Amino acid sequence: MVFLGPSTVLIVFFYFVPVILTFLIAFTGMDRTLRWEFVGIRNFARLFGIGARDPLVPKVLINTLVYTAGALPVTIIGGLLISILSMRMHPRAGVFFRALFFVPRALPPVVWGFLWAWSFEGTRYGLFNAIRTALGLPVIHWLIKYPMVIVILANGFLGISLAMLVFSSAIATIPRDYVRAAEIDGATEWQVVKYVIIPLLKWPILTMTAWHLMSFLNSYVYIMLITGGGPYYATEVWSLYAYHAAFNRYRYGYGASLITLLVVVNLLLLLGVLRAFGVKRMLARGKIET
Amino acid sequence: MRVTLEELCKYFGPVKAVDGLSLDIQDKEFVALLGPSGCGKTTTLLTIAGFYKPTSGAVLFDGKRVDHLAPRERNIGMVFQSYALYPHMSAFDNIAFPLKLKGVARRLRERKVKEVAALLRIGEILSRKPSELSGGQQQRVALARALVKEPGLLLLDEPLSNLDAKLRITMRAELKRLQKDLGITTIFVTHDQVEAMTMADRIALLNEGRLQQVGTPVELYRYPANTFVAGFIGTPPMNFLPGRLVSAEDKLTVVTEHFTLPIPARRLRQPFPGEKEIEVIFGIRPEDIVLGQGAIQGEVYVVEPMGKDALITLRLGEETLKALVSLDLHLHVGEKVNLNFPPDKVHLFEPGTGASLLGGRRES
Amino acid sequence: MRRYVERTLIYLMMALISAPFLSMYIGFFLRAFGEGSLLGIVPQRWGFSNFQFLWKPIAWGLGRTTMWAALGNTVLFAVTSGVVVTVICMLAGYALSRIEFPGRNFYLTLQLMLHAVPGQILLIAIFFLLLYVGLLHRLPGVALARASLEIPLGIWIAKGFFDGIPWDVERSAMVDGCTRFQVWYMIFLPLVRPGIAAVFIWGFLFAWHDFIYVYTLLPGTIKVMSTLIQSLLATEVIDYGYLAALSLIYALPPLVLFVFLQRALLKVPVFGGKGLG
Repeated sequence: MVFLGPSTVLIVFFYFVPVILTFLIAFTGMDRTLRWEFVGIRNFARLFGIGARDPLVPKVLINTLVYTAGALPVTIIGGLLISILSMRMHPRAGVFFRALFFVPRALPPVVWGFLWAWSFEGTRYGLFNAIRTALGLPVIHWLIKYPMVIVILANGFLGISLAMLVFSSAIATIPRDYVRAAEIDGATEWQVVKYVIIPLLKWPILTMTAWHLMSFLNSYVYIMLITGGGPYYATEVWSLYAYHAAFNRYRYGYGASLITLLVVVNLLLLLGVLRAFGVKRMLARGKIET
Repeated sequence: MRVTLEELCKYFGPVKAVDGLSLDIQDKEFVALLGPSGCGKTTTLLTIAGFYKPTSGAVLFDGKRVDHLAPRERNIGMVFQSYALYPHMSAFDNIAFPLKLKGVARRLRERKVKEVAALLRIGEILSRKPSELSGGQQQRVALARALVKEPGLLLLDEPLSNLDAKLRITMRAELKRLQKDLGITTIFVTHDQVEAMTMADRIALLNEGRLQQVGTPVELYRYPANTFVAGFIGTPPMNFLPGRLVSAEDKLTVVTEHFTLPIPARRLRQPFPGEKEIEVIFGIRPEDIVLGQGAIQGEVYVVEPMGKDALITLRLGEETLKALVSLDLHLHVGEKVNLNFPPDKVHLFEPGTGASLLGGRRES
Repeated sequence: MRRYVERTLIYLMMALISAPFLSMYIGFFLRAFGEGSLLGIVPQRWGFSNFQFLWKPIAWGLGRTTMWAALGNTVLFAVTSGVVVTVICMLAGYALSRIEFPGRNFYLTLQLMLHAVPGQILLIAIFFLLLYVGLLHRLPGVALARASLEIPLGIWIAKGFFDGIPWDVERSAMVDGCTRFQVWYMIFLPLVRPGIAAVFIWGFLFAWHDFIYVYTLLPGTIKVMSTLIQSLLATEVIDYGYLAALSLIYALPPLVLFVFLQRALLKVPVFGGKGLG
């Protein structure tokens, strides 16, 4: 078919072929010589600590879990908080704050990374240390002392930008009368939020949670730009570790085996999400049958 | 072009949109597909046009099956309820579009568009975009676009429903005249019985995907085949009362709680042998009720003057009846009146199936 | 009374959450336009000396380039991706909006799944793929790979616009003699111009933003804005004012485009709703 041909070709070429290729490379000792040398399951054995083991894998795994477990609540709770607050404000003020929190998504990753790296610079040249110096406080080596917190916040606020947008538009569709009725019944702001707004946001909250769970599990670009995975692998997450293995240490085979595991985890998650949600209800039937 | 539908069925999953529709439309005939919304009339039209594939049955043009043909290969013109003019093209380009696709030369294209525009009296507005046209003008452009390629069949999907009431009456006459002048077989979908009655040569009345009756407007009005047709055609709708049909000594009588009425035996569709009685639904049109004479007693409940006539709601015990009578009768609420149902104008239906018990095409 | 306290509390909480951000953004602007000794928060003078890259070449480590060369590469990269995404998504979006075929639901679901898995984790394989087909280290080849990441959601965006066109318009065109391709080309494309713009921006923007593909798959000698800024960040002595100014130039066009895009994005049912306002 003329219409779906090009997209299908590109999708096969840049999604399916790479998945298969990743899988194949994972069973080779591919290095900077770029020679296909199959080594069986040696990479995976190393990964799972059988025989010659990789001492960094447990740390990277824990980092990934901590990072995901940290950034996900930041995104969902922060997104809820900002959307609810902004929707309970004067409309103009609400738009201003939503725009403010949307900026991270509209900024190029390099710029967002630069903003964080500069703001949390460990010397008095960084923004927050400059403020501290001006207030007569000693400088803090943020990126050395709290690297994971900063990485979680930088990515969490990226998540917030999308989540708060989705939540806000869901709140906008709640009929005003529900809220008015609750207020007449004597509900406080907090009670309105708890008993009226949040229950009606169930579906968007679930969608955003699933979405960002996958997003954080796979993301590494922002971490790479802010901390580079350091200091001493303190923020090295799984996908970043794979990237470093392949492109810094030229151990493509090993990197591919790390990615293979990640792809498997993704597929399992996706299947779970699809089972839970299903997308059929979004699709309308065609009205011409030729 | 002659159009034949043979046992046409179109199901959408469990929904039977069209169910076993057979219809024969003669060349140059103007047929209305009439029915309430969701009766399957638009689905039928879209199947004839080729947008839907029949689940079973067939569509034939001039005796040849067309199920394998795409809409563009069927030589049809179509006007949609929303007119569906292409917003980015001028009226001229809209009308010329079918010719352009056919590869008609520019010169000839221009001449043909001018011709059809003159026919529909829209020569002045050809350079405008659809958004700059009134509803009536848009409709004429849509009609011109459908006619310009000289189709063998014209399909109209509720073409008048987006016009205001006054314009609709003008367009009704104009469309009817145009159809006769051009002699194009035309199928017209509408939910408005007045439109169907006034314009069509024949009406096919549909309900829940099934054909209820097909015939001339007068046939449908005078000899409704069942209670659905009887209730759908005519405003205000026919009155229905439960009753019994009693046969005794070769005489037929309708017996209800409030009156008995003799029925001429010749009007029965099938002879009614022996002595017995059956349950029936008695029907009478408001305009057929005669007030001021007769043996039946009623009470005036509501009077709704409508200019020349008045719509009277009558009470017969617990039952109510609507009667359309001359305003000159000067009836007052609470007044007792005598009324009469002319035996030739009454209708009898079977309670279970709703089918008419009285005969069809016969002068009464 | 209680209402006023609650309202005030709402504004107070919001101010508290946004204070660090506002100070980051404001600090960023101050750095870009401020001159002189900048140890404190407030600069001593205002001026454009941080924007000297507009007329002077940029050096990092041993390399040298100009901002204009990097900007040119960024535009080329982003436009290539935008065009590819537009053509492919407009075609596919029409079919998925209008044509009933077996596997249609599967195809649409697949697009969502593909979008959910960030394509950047497949970078190792894409590196080899481009290497084997001879597109590695070439800007158009890398742009094509980058474009493919935005195709899944781009298809949904395009579909959203096609969904908005009444079925009668399409039926009308088909009765008038159009094939499906003619309907698409002659009737629908002119009607979904805003959709074309939205999809193009979608493809353009993320390529403009891209860092990791360019950084990994293009040689260090071909600089786009993102890799240029990153290499300046990676040098020993960092001039933050200079970098802020450079980042500002780089980040401004997408900020403007995003205002337009967010309306289109929210037509995708997964996101749903009305947008910022």
